[in-house]
Amino acid sequence: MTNERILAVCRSNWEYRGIDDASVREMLDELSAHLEDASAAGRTTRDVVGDDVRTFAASWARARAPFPRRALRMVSMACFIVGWLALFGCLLRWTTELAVGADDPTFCVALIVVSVAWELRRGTLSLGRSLATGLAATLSAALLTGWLATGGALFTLPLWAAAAMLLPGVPYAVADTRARKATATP
Amino acid sequence: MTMGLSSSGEQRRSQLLRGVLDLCLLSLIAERPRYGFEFTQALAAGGLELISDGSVYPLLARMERAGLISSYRAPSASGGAPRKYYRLTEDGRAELTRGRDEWHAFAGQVGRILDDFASTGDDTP
Repeated sequence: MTNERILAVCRSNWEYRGIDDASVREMLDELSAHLEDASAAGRTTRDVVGDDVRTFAASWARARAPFPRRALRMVSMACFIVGWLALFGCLLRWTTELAVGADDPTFCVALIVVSVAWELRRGTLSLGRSLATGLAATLSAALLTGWLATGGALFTLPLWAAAAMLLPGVPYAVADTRARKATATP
Repeated sequence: MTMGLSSSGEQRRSQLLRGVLDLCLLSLIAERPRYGFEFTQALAAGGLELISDGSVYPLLARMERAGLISSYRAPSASGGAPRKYYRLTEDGRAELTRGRDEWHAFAGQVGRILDDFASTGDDTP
């Protein structure tokens, strides 16, 4: 396994486990430097990360931040993304209450985003395979819910609820943006 | 059979190391601030080979969260990108002293049992 592949798998795994952006960058820098030093010293990547890079990444993530903190961030960020999608849907239809059906583009996009992010961030599949898995999951879910709901709306989401869903994720999004800017500034 | 014994020996050695790796890392940092790769080099030089070098990172992260060590970024002596160095905090120094005492007491007790009873083993019918 190349250094780049190891770093990509670790990044996916850490993001999937709810590690904040600044910490992910710091851990990647540390691991990248170690892999380079180890390579110069004649050691293999397996000597550094062991037989299973995902187990190594997961163990570091668990040590870095306790699960409740990571779970809170994951849930907040998921709400943040869904909130933006719902707001976008309201804006497109120029309505204060979004009726979401199984054939609704907002619903399908949300399903694709969730399933692709899930597969991709676990670091198990490539982007192409994740996209194929996401499309398959979305198609199945859309057909199933369409059949169950017999063409009607699955649920309605008022504009205020979509805006409220953004709130928990705002502090994390701001912190990530600041960290990104701080890293970009030399 | 020999393979089994050898693997059992390695397993015991690995478990023993796992139990005191945090103290070894604290002791290495007490000498001077170090970064990740330097820990693995120093451990190897001291005859302690880790199953995977990267296993020091979860432990360092846990000790940093516990306030035993702190970190800062600085250029490395060997050049290249800046490294994340770890240094000991006051809590870490106290933990190292306590851990050293515990280890010496424990190793002494185990040593006495292993030495005292080894000589009587041949008399067993």
